[in-house]
Amino acid sequence: MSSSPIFRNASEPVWCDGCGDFHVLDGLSAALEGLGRNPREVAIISGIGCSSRLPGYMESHGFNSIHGRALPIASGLKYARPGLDVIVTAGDGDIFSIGATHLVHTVRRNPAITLLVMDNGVYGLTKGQHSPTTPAGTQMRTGSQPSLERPVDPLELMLSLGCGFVSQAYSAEQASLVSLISQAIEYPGFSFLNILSPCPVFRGGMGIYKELRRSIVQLGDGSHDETDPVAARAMLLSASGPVSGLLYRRDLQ
Amino acid sequence: MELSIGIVGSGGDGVVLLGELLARSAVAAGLHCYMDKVFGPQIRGGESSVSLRVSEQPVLRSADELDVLLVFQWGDLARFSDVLAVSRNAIVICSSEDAGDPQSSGLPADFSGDLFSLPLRQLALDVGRSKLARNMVLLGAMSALLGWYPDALDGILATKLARYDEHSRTNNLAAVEAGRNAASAWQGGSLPVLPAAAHGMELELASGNELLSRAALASGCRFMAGYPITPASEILEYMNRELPKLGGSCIQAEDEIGAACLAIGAALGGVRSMSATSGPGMTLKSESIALAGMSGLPMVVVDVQRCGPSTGIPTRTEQADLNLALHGAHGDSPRIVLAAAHAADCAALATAAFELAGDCRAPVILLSEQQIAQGLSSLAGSAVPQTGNTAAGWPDTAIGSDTQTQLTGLEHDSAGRPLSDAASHAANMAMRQQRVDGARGRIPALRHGREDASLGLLCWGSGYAVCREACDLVNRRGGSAELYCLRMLAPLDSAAITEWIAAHERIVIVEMNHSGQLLGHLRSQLSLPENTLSLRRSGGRPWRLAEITEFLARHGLLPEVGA
Repeated sequence: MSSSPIFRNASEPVWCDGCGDFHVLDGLSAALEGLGRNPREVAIISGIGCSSRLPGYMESHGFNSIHGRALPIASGLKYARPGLDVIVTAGDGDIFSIGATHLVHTVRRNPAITLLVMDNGVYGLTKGQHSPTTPAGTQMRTGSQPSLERPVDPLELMLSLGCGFVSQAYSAEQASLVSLISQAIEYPGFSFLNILSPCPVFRGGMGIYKELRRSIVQLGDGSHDETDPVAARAMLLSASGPVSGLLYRRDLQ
Repeated sequence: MELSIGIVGSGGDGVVLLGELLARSAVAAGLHCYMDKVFGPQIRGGESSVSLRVSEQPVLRSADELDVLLVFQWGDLARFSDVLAVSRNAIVICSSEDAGDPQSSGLPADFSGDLFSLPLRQLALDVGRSKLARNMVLLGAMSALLGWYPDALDGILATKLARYDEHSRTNNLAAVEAGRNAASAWQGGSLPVLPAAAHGMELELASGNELLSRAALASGCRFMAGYPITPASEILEYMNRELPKLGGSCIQAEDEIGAACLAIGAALGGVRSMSATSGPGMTLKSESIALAGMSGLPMVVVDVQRCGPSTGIPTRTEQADLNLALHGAHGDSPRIVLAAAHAADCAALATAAFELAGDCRAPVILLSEQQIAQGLSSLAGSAVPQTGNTAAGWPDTAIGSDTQTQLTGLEHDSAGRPLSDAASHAANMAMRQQRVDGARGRIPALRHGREDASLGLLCWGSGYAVCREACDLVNRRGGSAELYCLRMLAPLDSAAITEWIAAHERIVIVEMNHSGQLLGHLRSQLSLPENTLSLRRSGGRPWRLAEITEFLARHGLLPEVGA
């Protein structure tokens, strides 16, 4: 899909060839344009990491801040300017490791902001250290010992925190990505979209795309009730691979 | 004329409430007062004390010695022996049910005052079946013995007890009465209570933390984020109660970093915002402060200093975060640093902090101290900031206007695009320093004493209260001294300070920290005369006037009495 000129500026992303984040940039631009948003009414806040470069490529307001701290900054902005669409773009290290405390408590505060995590399971900007979503035992290219810790499951985590909008997308499936980003932005509380956004350079080579496409379990065929938190948990426990779609949505009063 | 009263007890005894009732009734009678609260390190529970000084003149600190002491248990006095010095002629009201030994607990060895003991517990139990009202028994005894502003006291008591249920209210009033009756048995001497003042001025009693909060609201602050920490929590609590009434928001954040970033986010939206903390929280905020400086966002952070390092003595006063405020960041990160000299100055500088942060688009750190922040001071009602003013923004920085705003913590060009060449970095560094330098000289030092003086006392923060009295003493004895209390520590107005220093023969720098942080700061910015003296010690208790005067005497700078 070509990028939408309304929301994309002229800057050329610094991402590597094959990076999933290109698709996220396109998907976010398309979603905002599709929703008829004005770039002056959108603010994109990020921390540090490859994914956090995204606001700089957008025609909206943007703040590329410091590692892990995008959520409280975005929350402060939303309190000050409730009329703005405030979107946080983050990486898995940014949000589930150094910024994890803020994630927990932002869910509790439930501001109407959208969190898009570009989850590649690796620290790409610092060239390949294991991240909180790297599967245990993965041998990293840095040559250090394989990651020992159990990975964080972002969807389980967000369900357990009581987040009202929990979803996951695959960066290479543009149509469902755009649809989920749009739904997340329209959600009146804190919305979470984990985007499996591969880093072929530091995690799995280009083969990772094929692997993901093969293993992903699509939601949205009508068999999953996304209003049922118990069904959402059961789905995560029973699915044969990573799910893609809206896992859980709670209507806000 | 003045009178100084100390109260010691344990958590739950109602020491602070008793002190406040005494202070408020004195203030209602038109007298000035200052009440210091000193707690044990437990913050909640453990021992607590207040030291109340009532005077016909404005007072900014507690007195060196207590004229009256109210004791719940002698053991509690022993724990405050470094803070509360009892006059040998004091009137002491204590419990006859306490087996503790007055002398070994901290009464002077040559004590020749009056010791009046009452069965506090029994009197409280008799009227209300609870020993909790012992503080009210003491209040009654105090009222009878010293004639403590009975008209004012009854009114203050009625207001304070209004939120209690009928039963507790009756019990408390009965306990006051029981104390009054028991004190009528008193055969000893008495201290004359100060006559109610007839100046007709309405006085209010407020803490530095409250005054700071009120001034922030009056300055248009409509967003606050903080994390509970002693001795700054009262700011968070006050803002939490008051901000929603004014259409603002106050967030108790997940941590100090979150609080700082929430405030930055609100500033990004053009709303005047702040965060408040104490030393340990300040270290956590240093990355965020550097971000605000780098991205050109206004930021107001209050650091109410306590004894450090680490958890230190979290309830006690100190002035040891100056280095942190000046330099606490990675990279060169210019900021404006202000330091309040007394409670009312917390309000003045909070107002200035919001102005400067907006004008300079830079972080402003406002230093306060436990003693100033939690102590209660009387001030003219007209001097208390009114909080209902309309919100003011920081419009220049606002996201959400028609101009696109792109900001980043990366080194960047004027459009917010990252760059990494050394020349631009150098130019931006100079620009950021220049922003802050724009504030230089805008907050003048507080001066007191004789302008033609030969002795110059140079201090900051709470040093003001004690050095002011030291100056007066020197000048009364025929010497000549002047005080210069710095309120803007960065950027430093080196030219003005150098000129002031040159006009005095001898300079004494007074500060409450171990390493001499102000001394080091001044040395780094200007030349000090070789014979400059440094009077410093770490914190834990407020200065006594005697510490200053003994130092001056040791260096031949205090004229003898009658000289």
